[in-house]
Amino acid sequence: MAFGLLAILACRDPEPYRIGVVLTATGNPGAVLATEFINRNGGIGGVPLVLVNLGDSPTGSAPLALDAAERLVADPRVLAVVGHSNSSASLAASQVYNSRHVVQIAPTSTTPLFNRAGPWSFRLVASDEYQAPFIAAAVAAEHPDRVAVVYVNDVYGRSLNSLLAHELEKSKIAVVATLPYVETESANQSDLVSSLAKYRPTLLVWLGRSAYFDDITAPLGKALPGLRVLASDGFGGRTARLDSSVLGEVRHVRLVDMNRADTTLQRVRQLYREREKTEINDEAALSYDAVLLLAEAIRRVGPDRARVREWLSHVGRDAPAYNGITGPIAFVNGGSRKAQYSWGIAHAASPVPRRAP
Amino acid sequence: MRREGTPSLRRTLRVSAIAVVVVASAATLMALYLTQSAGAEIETDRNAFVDEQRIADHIVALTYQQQLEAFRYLQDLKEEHRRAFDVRGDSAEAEMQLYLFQQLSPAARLEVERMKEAHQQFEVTAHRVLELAERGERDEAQRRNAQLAGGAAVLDSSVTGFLLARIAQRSALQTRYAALTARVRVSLALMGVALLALAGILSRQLERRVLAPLNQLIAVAKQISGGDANARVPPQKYAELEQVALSFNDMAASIHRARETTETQNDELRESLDQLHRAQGELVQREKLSAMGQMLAGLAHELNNPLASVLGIAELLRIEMKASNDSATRHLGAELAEPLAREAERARDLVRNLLSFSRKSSGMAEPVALSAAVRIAMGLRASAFTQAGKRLEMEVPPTLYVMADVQKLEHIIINVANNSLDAMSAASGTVLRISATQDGDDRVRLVLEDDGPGFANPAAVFDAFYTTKPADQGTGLGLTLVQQFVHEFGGEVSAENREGGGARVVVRMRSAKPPVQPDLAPAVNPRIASGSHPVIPRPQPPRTTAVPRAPGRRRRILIVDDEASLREIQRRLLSQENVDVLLASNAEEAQQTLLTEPVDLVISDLRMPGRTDGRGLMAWIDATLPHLTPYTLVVSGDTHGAQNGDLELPSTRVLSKPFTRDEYLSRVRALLSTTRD
Repeated sequence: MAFGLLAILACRDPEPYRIGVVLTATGNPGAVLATEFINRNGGIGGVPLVLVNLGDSPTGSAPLALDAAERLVADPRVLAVVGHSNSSASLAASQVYNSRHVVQIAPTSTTPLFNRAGPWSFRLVASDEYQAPFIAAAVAAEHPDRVAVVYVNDVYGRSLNSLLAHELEKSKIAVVATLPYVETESANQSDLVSSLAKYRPTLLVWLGRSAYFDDITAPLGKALPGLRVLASDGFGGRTARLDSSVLGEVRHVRLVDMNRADTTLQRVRQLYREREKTEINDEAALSYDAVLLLAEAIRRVGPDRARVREWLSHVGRDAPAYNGITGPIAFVNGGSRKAQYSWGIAHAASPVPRRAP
Repeated sequence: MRREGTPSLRRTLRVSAIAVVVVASAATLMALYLTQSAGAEIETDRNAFVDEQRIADHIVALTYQQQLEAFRYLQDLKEEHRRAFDVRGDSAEAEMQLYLFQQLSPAARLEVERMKEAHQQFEVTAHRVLELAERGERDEAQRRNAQLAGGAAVLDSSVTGFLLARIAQRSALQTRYAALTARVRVSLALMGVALLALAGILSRQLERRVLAPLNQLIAVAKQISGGDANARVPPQKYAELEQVALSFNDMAASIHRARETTETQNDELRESLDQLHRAQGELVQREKLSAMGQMLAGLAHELNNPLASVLGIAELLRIEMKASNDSATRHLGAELAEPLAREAERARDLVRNLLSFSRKSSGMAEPVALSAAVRIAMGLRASAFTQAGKRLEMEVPPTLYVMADVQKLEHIIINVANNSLDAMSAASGTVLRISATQDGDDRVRLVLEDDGPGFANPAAVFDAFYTTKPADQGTGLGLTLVQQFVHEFGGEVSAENREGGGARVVVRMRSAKPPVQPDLAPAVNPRIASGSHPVIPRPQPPRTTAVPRAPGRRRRILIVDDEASLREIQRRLLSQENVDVLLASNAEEAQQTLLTEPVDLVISDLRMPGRTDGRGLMAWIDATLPHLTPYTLVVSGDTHGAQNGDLELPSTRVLSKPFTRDEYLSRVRALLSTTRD
């Protein structure tokens, strides 16, 4: 009987490894694809990988990100977390992860302050200290007559605005208006458009996300027809209400070169396109790589939070960089990845759920 | 010696001490750690709280300043207020970012994020209002002003919410610290109790394992000091105490042995002291006896001359009265003269015995006539026996000679006789019998036995200081000296009780042959010595001054004596001998006579007054008239000196005073018979 019991226990499926995921609805499929890829190939040393997905909760809100982080670290089986979707949320949640000793890989958090998040926090993108000159250079290349800057009034938008202002000043590019917004500011959207219209900019630098931009696209196109827009990485590459006939070209910063000749990347793009009926964005691709990277760490050092963190801290430094679909990953700058920006053209997309306030 | 397997007290104490130190150290360290960690945590939290409070104060101040600048701008539309608004906003945002890296509770951190969002919302709202004012839509701006105030209120509420969360967090922390402090106190109390218990156990162990054995040691020491010399410390568990116990027991045994030795030595010392006292008494007694002997010798010498006169006169009277034709005279001679002569002889014998006993011992064993020695001794004690109503009997053949010192031999007999007399006087008994027989070829057996009470302990009678007499009557050395003297002679002595009652002392001595009697012919080359005169070898020169005897004349005898009575007695004794008697009262007179008159025999006293005594006269004759030397007869009351030391003369030329007529005449006749015609 004992032998039988042992046989039954031996035949049971091994306890899967768990990774928490707190991403946007467009980023989350990347992590899912990566997990499916791993499990299709035998899991991690024969152990399947499971994502503890908190769903498409409004992860952009810092208070809600804290709640999500507390829920994830409360589960001892969660070995690491991929998230959150923006700098404010990632930065707020990083203190939870660092105090509870859980590895956090933020796929798209670019705020410079994230470098101080702690030893348990990594990110797959470079700091905005590199993005601001990149955007400033693009602005300069446009030779605009009047430049206006709109930034989201959080830790991401404020710091990037500050960095960009410094760069534009160095380039002697005058900014006719710098206007903040908050993503919960639905009542005053017309005020923002009115203010912008007053300054009659020919180039708008949008340091924020695409969701709020969607809300003002129509009045903005009406008030400032032909307005060219340069958006930061937070724009995400697609907008639901983009009407190129009203608004001029909208370009945005891409953290990942989706056209690089990488068969895996292209295969993942294809899979994503087939499943999500849209193009893969930076968050999804970086989340794909984040899951692969964590799986590799677990495979190398076992399902141990501390050893996973230790292994990650050597990647690209005294250990080889990890080759993901987004390119080599090396944590060479305080847990940040080397910058590899490009410009993408925004395009219309099917409506996506609005981030909750 | 340490027994195998015996545990070491030192090691046990060391282990216990280490255990106490370790436990105490661990407890102290733990208490310190708990206290310090709690204190450090409280201090850290307090500092953090102060910092957070400062941040919160700044945020509140900055947001109010920001509101104020916004309102000012709305009032005057001055650009400086607008810039101040932005600066205050950036500062407030920067202050809020400081919260990111504080150790906050989830609730507090949530409040921070809400506060940040509220501030961001407030800023955007304010920005919209300021934009309206800037665009000249002041009315609309004033209308939105209430909205701005609402945003500020939300911001204040958020800040307050954060502070309340921190207060709640701090309260929780303080509660936790209070509990921790209580646990530390309880732990410290428990550790204190544990340490006290451990100390108690160690104290108990110390008392049981160290103090108890020490108390045993003290108890045994008291037992020993109380006189129990056999008290010992029992075996101990620990090596060190075992060593102490063994050493203590060894010491106790040593003390016991030393005490026994001391007691023995004290007994011996006490006995030696008693012996010393008795020896001192004996010495005093012997000194007394020695002085008495000297006195007796002098007394006897002084008595001899008058006694010689008395004896001579008595004999002359007896002879004359006996030869008288008158019967009454003859009867009177028989009644008076004869007893007088007899008593005079008895007095002479007594004096002789005293002189003989008082002589100094030669210390050399020589042939001694046993009967003579016994007779002398008996003569000395006869009177005492008679006065005590006891008898002395002697049965000693005159042919028995023994190797002895005559003085010591007499002493032996007198000592045994004294003991016998004392015993018989104190109890019963009537007679002491002295007999002697030849015992084999080379031994003589002398037996002294009485019919008294016998010895109380025959085996002890020869022990020094053994006596049964009262303390003032005996020294306990008498028979000890007897044994010593007999051993000096090469003999043995034993004591026993007779079967029928009485004591018996048996002395066995080496027998000796009788000494060879010298020829009656004058000795050739006699040597004359004197204490005051040098020894003068007999000169060989021919006679030049002596007067030869004429043929047919009667022989001439020169009597030299300072006592006129003795000169007369001798003259009368020689009156019947067909000789001529010449008289001289001193040596000078005798020398003159000898130089002028022919003399055949010189009879001289030894002690005479004047420049020259008898010894000087004998020396002078030896030197001047050597042919006359063999025909000299020394008459002295101290003949011992003439024979032993001062004058080396043969016994045939020595006559002791007092003497009887027969003794005198026989000696004179013997010498005259050798003279030449």
